[in-house]
Amino acid sequence: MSCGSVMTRVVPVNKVEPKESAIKISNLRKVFERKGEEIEAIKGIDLDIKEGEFVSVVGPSGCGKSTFLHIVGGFIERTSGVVSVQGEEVGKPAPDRGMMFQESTLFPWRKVYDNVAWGLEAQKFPKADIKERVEYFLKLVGLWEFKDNLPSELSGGMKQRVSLARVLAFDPKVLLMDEPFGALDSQTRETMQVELQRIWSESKKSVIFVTHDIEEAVYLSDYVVVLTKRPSVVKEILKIELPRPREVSIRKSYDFIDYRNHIWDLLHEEENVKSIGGQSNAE
Amino acid sequence: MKAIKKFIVKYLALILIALLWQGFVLAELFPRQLFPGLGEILLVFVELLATSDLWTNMGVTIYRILIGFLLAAIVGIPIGIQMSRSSFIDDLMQPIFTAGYPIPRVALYPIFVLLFGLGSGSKIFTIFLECIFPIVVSTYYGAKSVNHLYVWSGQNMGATDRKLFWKVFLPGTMPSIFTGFRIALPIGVVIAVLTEMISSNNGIGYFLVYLSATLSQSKVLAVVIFISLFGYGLDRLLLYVRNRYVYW
Amino acid sequence: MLSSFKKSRFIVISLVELLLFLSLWQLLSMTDWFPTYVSSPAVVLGIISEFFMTGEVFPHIGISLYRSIVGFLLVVLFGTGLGILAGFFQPIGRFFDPVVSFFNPIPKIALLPVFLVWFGVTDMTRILIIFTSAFFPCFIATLDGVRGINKLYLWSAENMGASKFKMLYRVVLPAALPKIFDGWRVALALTFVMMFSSEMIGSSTGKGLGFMILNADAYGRTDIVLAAVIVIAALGFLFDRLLIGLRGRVLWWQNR
Repeated sequence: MSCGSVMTRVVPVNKVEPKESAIKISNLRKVFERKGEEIEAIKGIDLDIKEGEFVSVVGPSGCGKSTFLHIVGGFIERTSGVVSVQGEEVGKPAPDRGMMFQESTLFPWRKVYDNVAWGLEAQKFPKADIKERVEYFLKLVGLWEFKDNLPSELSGGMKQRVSLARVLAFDPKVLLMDEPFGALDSQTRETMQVELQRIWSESKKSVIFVTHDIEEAVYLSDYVVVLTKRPSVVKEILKIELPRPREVSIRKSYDFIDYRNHIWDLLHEEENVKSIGGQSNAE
Repeated sequence: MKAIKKFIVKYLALILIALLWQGFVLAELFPRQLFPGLGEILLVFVELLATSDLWTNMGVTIYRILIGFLLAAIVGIPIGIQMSRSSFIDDLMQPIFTAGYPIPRVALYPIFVLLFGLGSGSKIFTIFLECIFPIVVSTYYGAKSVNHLYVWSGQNMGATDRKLFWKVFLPGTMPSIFTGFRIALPIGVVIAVLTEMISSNNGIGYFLVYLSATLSQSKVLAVVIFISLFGYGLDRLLLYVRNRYVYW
Repeated sequence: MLSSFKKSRFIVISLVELLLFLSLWQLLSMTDWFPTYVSSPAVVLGIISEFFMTGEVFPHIGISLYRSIVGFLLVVLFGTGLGILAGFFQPIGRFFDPVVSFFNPIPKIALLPVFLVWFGVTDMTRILIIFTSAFFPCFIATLDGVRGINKLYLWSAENMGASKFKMLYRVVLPAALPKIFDGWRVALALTFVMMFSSEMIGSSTGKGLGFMILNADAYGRTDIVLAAVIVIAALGFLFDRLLIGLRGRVLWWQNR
């Protein structure tokens, strides 16, 4: 399979089975002001992610991919552009966009169970409902027996699994994941990727997944969005047509390696633009 | 045998100090009355525990320390938190707490005696003034350094501002508040004893000065032991409370 | 740029607040219901300028500073020195650990009557109480600083062939210095408190700012009391600034 055939510069639309748009981002732009100087972090990003799709965002380091996700989550204000979830424009942080961060944001003063229940309590779910949901999702991530432990008693991988349960428990419309496995060692990370694929296929949620790990992006995603360096635009959107469910060993397949190499090339093109020194690379 | 050896090695410094002290006593370099042996001090300490003088004076001192400290906490914590949340209040209060920190506020005590009298009022106010500084400063830095990702996840999970404050921000600041308490409380003890020593007609500091004037050094040292145990106990108590409620 | 702007704004706000406080005090002291024994700032400032014009305050300041500085320098010498040794050489650290846990919780001020009996109303007593009060914060901060040094610094220094002694003052001292300065600041504040207190307790004749307050208080001269308090406050503030200035010089590699 050649990569050229799956490459597309326009927003991907699945022709066979037209799906609802889960999250739509158009003309997103972000300019920071630092010491009176304006820095354009994101020049303009357009994305249309359909229901149930898993989309990864990769880019050269410092390209503003995390900033992009933080804007979608509403934690940072955007300079201009529109973000809408299921057709409705969104702004401030809200539980319709469940967010997972690179470092654990489990509250250290609450037990695992109470951490997962936190969002449900905040949204005033009925008591019985809370119990049921917490149990279901802690079992889903395989940590029900740790419900009475404090986060400090868990390993890094376990903490992130609890974070995933916490965010799934309050049933967001889309999931935003900001390098959630970035702080884990490579073996734990691989296990987590397998777990995430399983949980995602059960939950059927749309995901935007930011990572700097190319293999992780290819392994998990339906589409990989490659950003240019700052000021960021979408350089390329790659459709990953690997059969699901994907075995761990898929990483050894030629198709997988082709995707990986192609993205690697794209990122290195970006890195090298620096030495040539043009501002025009974004065009 | 091994256990004894281990004990001696571990507490070598203290054993040496005790031996040195007893050596001085046995050599009779100083009159016994001024330099009593450790055994005598201990004996006097036990005797002292049975006297009402000790307990009534200590009671007064404890009352002053606790009221001064509690006032400092009640006023100090909200100030620290508000400073961290509003840049206007930060601008307003920062000079007072930064520039005022190194000033020995206890020097104002003679004025407070004029304002509040020789009784507990002047002492409590001085204790309050000395305790509030570490509490405000610790709370402020603690509140400033609450991991913003905690706040973000709280928002993400749909918490109201009110809930965010009580359920995320305040617990996140709690460890620092306790750090402030642990700095402030010993200061409170020192200031209480100090102000009572300068001018008072009751309290443990007054009791010390009184005993000292009668040249009964063994009693003075026994009271010193008592105050030290009290200070130690107070710190343990605070630590216990912290470990109970700030267990993470 | 930004930080110097912030700094000057900070100073302006401080001065404005001080001025507001003084004028409020002045206004209040002109009303009837304000206690007459609290003098107005104008009077107090007058006394302070008189202090310096006649020079009568200088012997008091001199002797108070002498006691404070000797006490503080002893603390710096022994607290920091022993702290570094105890932190760097484990057996020494183990030797001192029980001393710290036994003597640190003692409110050292309680020892003042003990010292008064032993050494009388002398500078020995005062310097000793300053030393015992300020020693432990300095010692503990230094110890923590040295023990908290990243082991990799020490290993890499060893790897590059540094001797133990060289490591002490080329690696350990600079790496622990931020903590050591924290300890010094606490010690300095305690020094001033103890200087003031030891001069106020148990002395009826002599010199020193604390004595001056005591004496003026006895004669009901609250204006002099307030003036002397302000002089002590100013000295405490000034020496803290000096220490911070020194810190900025020595620790230039921090906050860059």
